[in-house]
Amino acid sequence: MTVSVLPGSFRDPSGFLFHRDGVLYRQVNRSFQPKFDEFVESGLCQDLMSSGLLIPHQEMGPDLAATPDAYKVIRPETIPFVSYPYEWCPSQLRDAALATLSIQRRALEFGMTLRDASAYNIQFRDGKPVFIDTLSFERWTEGRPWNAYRQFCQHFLAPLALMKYRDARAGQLLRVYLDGLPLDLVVKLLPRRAYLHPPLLLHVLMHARSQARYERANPAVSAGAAEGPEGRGRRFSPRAFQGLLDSLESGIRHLRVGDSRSAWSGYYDEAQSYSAEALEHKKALVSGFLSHLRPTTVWDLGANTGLFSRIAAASGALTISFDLDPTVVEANYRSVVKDGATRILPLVVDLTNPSPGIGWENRERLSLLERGPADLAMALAIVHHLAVGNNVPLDRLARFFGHACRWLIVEFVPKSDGQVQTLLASREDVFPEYHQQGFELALESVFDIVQREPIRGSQRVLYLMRPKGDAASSIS
Amino acid sequence: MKHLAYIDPGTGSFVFQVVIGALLAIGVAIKVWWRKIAAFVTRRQPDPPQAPIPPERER
Repeated sequence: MTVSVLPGSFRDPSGFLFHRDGVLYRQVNRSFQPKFDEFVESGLCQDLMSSGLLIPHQEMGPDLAATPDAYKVIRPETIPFVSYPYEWCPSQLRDAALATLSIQRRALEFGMTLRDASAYNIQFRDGKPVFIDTLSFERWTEGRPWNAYRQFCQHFLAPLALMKYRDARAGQLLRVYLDGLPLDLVVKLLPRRAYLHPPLLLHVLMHARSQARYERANPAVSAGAAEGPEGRGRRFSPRAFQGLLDSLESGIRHLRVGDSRSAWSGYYDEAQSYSAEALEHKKALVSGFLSHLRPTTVWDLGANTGLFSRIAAASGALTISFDLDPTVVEANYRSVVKDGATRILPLVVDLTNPSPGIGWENRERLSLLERGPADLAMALAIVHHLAVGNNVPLDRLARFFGHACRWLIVEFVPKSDGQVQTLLASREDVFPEYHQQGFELALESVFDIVQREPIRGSQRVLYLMRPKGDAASSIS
Repeated sequence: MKHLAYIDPGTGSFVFQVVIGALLAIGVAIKVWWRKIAAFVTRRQPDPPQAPIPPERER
């Protein structure tokens, strides 16, 4: 019997997440008993769970508690792949923000409020955002402003504003600032025209100035300060709270990034890389491998807009669709939303620098590889970008794939291919081992080649591989 | 009642909400009145000639 507390679950004294014998539980501490009971008895908990906004849970017996100060133990539904805000495209962060505001509105109807508004409290499940922190609720004390306002602006509004008015890549700043982007920094980075939209003027610029003023002036606790000279006699009425949420929602809705094309977004459409015959054959081969193996989880590495992720999802696998370009991840996510796809999660990840373990002790947010391995990874039309475009030696590439997955579908793109020619056009060819035989030799240090299929109408080769010495390895 | 949160709401953020609260409340009130006026005006307009509503417009 093993109990291990999740390394990222320590900030809130109301409880924590832990694994017992591989099953995820959440302990509610005795100190949080009155608030938790109010949350359940108010009907809000059931309401949010039935509307799909809150992760459902089951109450378990107290014998499962991890520590003696437990009030209750609940078993939340498990999120099969945990993702982080710095891996989301702008629309994912925007949908997560809107979900948080909907939850806060619903909470107010029940006389309750969110105690925090961290973007890390949202995960994507079946293609939609869902709130995962069941202990984030408490009764709202009328007259009191929203505790989570600063956090909401830093986690959602500020990064979205930068992504819209500067560049979608600005979302990567969330990797540095775990509690959201400091508003004073965002004010320095945003163009003035952003403030033509009143909610941004209010909740970013003026909010930042207010923060700066009180930081300089008075370190008093906020509850006291709200009753100080400026707040004296004024209460934050239910109508003001509603106005605040309306205004934040208007700000968030305005921050939809425009459609833009990147170097990658026309990769398959323009048929530069593939003839129609080659593309169809490649699709058929991938589909055949997947229907034979029936993996539960697939990582599509360098997924672009998710053409092959859709084939994997159609085979029944939860497919994580990684790409380094937020523009194509945005396009992928919008298709997921439009089609109501439930088994594709597009994420922004640069494979040459995948998400590391960050936060306290480097363990609060897991690295990409710690969230694996996937049953199967697809590395389609990516090897040349990593090996030639980024100078990653082929044996290191094999090692990375070996950590990331159990089975591998990988495409080798030879030097004679137009895409590799383009990569080599402006640089010295320092890759004498980059040829089919060298590729196979390197990959065979980690994998056994199960199938080797030349793609018709191209010079490329598609492989199915499994971990070395694991002849009995099967997925289903 | 002294009420402290487990995260720091930030003094500046907290006071700022109180300061803008009145403005935001007025915004909501205007919206509510506007909706009432719009509903009243719509109700007073004569009914359009009876025509079957296509199913996709029934919401």
